[in-house]
Amino acid sequence: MKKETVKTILKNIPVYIMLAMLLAFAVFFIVLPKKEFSENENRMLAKFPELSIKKISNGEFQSEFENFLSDQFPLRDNLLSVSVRASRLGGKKEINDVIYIRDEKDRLRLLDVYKKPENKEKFANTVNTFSGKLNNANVVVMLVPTAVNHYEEELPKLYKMQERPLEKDTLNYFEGQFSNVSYVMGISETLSLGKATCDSMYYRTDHHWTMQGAYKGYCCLAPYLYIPVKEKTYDDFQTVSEDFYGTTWSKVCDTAVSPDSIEIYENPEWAGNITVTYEDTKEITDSPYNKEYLNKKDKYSMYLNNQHSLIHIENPNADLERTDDSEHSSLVIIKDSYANSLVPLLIDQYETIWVFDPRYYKGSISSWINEHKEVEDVLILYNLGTMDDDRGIGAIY
Amino acid sequence: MVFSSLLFLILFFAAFLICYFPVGALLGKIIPGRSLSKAVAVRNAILLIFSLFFYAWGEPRCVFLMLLSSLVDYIDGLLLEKFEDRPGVRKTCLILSLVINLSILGVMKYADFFLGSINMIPGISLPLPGIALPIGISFYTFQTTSYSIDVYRKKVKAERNYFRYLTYISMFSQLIAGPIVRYSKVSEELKNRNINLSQFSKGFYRFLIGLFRKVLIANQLGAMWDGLRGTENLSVVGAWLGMLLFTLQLYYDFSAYSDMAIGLGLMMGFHFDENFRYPLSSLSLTDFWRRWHISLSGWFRDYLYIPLGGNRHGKLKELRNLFIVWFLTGLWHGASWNFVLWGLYHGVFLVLEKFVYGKFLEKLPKAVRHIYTLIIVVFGFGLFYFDKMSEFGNYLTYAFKIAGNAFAGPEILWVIGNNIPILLVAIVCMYPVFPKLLEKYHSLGEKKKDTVYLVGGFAAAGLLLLSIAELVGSSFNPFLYFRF
Repeated sequence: MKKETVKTILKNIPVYIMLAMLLAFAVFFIVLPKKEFSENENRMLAKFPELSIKKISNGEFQSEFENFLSDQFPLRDNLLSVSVRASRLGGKKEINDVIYIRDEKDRLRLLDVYKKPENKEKFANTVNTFSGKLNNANVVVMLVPTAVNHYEEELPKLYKMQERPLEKDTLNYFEGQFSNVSYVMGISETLSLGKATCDSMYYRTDHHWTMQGAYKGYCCLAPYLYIPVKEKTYDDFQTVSEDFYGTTWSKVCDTAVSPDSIEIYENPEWAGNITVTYEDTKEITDSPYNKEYLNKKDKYSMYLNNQHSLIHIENPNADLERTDDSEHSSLVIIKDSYANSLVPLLIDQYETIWVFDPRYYKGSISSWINEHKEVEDVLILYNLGTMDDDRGIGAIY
Repeated sequence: MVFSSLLFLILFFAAFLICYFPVGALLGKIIPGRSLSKAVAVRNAILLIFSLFFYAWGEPRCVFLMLLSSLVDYIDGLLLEKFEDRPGVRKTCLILSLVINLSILGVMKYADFFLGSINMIPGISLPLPGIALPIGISFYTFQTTSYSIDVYRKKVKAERNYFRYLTYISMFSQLIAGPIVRYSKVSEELKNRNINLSQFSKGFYRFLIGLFRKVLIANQLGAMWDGLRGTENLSVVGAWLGMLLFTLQLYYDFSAYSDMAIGLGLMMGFHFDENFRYPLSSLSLTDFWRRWHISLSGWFRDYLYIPLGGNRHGKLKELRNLFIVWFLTGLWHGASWNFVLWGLYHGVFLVLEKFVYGKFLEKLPKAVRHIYTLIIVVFGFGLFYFDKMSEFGNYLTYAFKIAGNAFAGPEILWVIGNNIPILLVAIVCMYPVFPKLLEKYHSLGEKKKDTVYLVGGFAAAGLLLLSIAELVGSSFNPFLYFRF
């Protein structure tokens, strides 16, 4: 070969590398076994679409195929993390609707941005209509702010300066919006006490509150249910996992953020005494936790065994001491996933707890309550992140 | 299918390269026949099959419309040559072809627009057919009509082989977003073209530059603009910054597509003309239109403005011609009145520069001329963006401080603060920095040149991986120029 030709070939080594790279992605995409489920994204992945002339001619096949390609792309999660790392190198602090901050312990923490609430009025109306239909029950509404509210001070300066929806404003809005319903106040302030003691009220990688956060929530809620606060110390909680990466983290897949640990509260007297019945699947256990989830990605689902339309918890040894002269022993909770870690803290003080998830429970909850005359307390618990777009709540009455 | 999608990049591109280069070369050897034309014919066939697949992927039905449109002009070209000495027949042939092509375009792209405009007259309410615009129809219609006109003008010989003609019209590199390549430009290369490694690499790098500009810059700018647009109580500075972001996004998006098209063409052995020459660094609107979407302005100049008489029949006729050209240039960009207004808006400034203050402008310092141009262009793209006049009007109340908004507000700080590196790159690369660097590169010694070339290549490999990561990581990948 001529010297010039050899030189041209050598000069273009990066071109061959790039072509090989493209080809390698193509080959791996074709030969690698396809996954059905993404643990990281917690959803089913697209399958190879069904082929038919009709689906091709209206373009359905093509767009489904492109979803299939991106869902099944080799090294999908790693590539997402590459792009996030590069953005962070470029100084970005808000990526895919996730804000990076440093928390009270100077650790990296991920916050979901708060989107402008569009359905505040609707939520208030729904709750009022619902409580109006109940014959007699003490209805308590608890709206829990999310981490972005808790870390308002730690947000990037420029981010704070812009006009944006604040969870604080939404919480204030609901004061005085409810009739015949007590509205739990001061949660934000109670949670912020946790910062002083360096307790994480929220996960760093997930949109939920931690067991400690839920405990603060319980302290705040107790007076509205007329139950005395059962004080807990650190020893009452046990750590069950130290490698939890939550849903917020899944939006960035950034291993620069260290994993969270998960705690539970478990009264030793529960074992063999309480019954937890998942009405939809008919499973019966004696613990509000399903520790099998600790081996999966989706560890938060350990609380109350993930999502169920209706859960029935019985504790015959419950302490029925009340701060008023009532002897309420039965509670209905209508809730989103924030309640899953709070419910265990209420088990000791109610003989019966019914937990409704209106996203899955399709009947009328108000009629159900009226049919069950023993129900004395009703708690509606939502976090501000999902309250606004939870379609289930519309169907509770 | 768009170039900046995983589907194109990973599957289509890889399959095409394998078929076009090694398989094409192999088939060229196996099939008997004259070696040179045979090798090209094999590659043309491969290119045609891939192009039809490429188009049918996005338009499984309208692909037949493209076949029809190209068949009309192919036959028309043959007829124009057959009746070489009968001007009357030739004219009829040309008019027939134009009527068919423009009617297809008119119905597929503008039916709703025309009927909707008639409906604005009180008392009339015609039903709208609601036809979805076939991808790229504006581009290939202009290519195919330019061919007929050129044959009619005897500027180019008619193509005798339909498949070769179809290869030209359907070539996936420029089929859906330009540039508008004239047949005369590629007629030779369709029959005989050179393929070699240095040219391939050059084309590949050019393609990558386009890919990076699209994925790493335009998409990010788009996200910024989307974020800013949604904020309530936009300040004056915010509103203008928003329009600037959209302008930059549009420029990077569209010119990146041309980069990729030119690069792909070069890899295959075709040489297309440049379509953008740093339009956002222009010193006047006249200058801007020599640099922005050159193949389109050239088309309107050669096939409309000059045939209308250009500037040869007095000022009044010239003004009329300019009005027609800019009305249609606007309309070409989309079937909506805001595009027409955008075209006329540019037309007005071009007329003013030509007849009123052009000479004066030239005496001003370059910086002033540049800022004047940028303001007009950026504001124009505001008009371009909002297809509902009421929305644009609403936006303008912020841009001109009528809404009682602040002059400068903190809302822009986060958009800027969170995206400084991208913004800096986007603004610097508006100007011809890269050609300057290239000049420097060419003045280096051989050894140094090779090192820089190699290092640049590895950097490109890194950016390619990053672009793939970016495409995987985001579903945000709309191509703006899809309304054309």
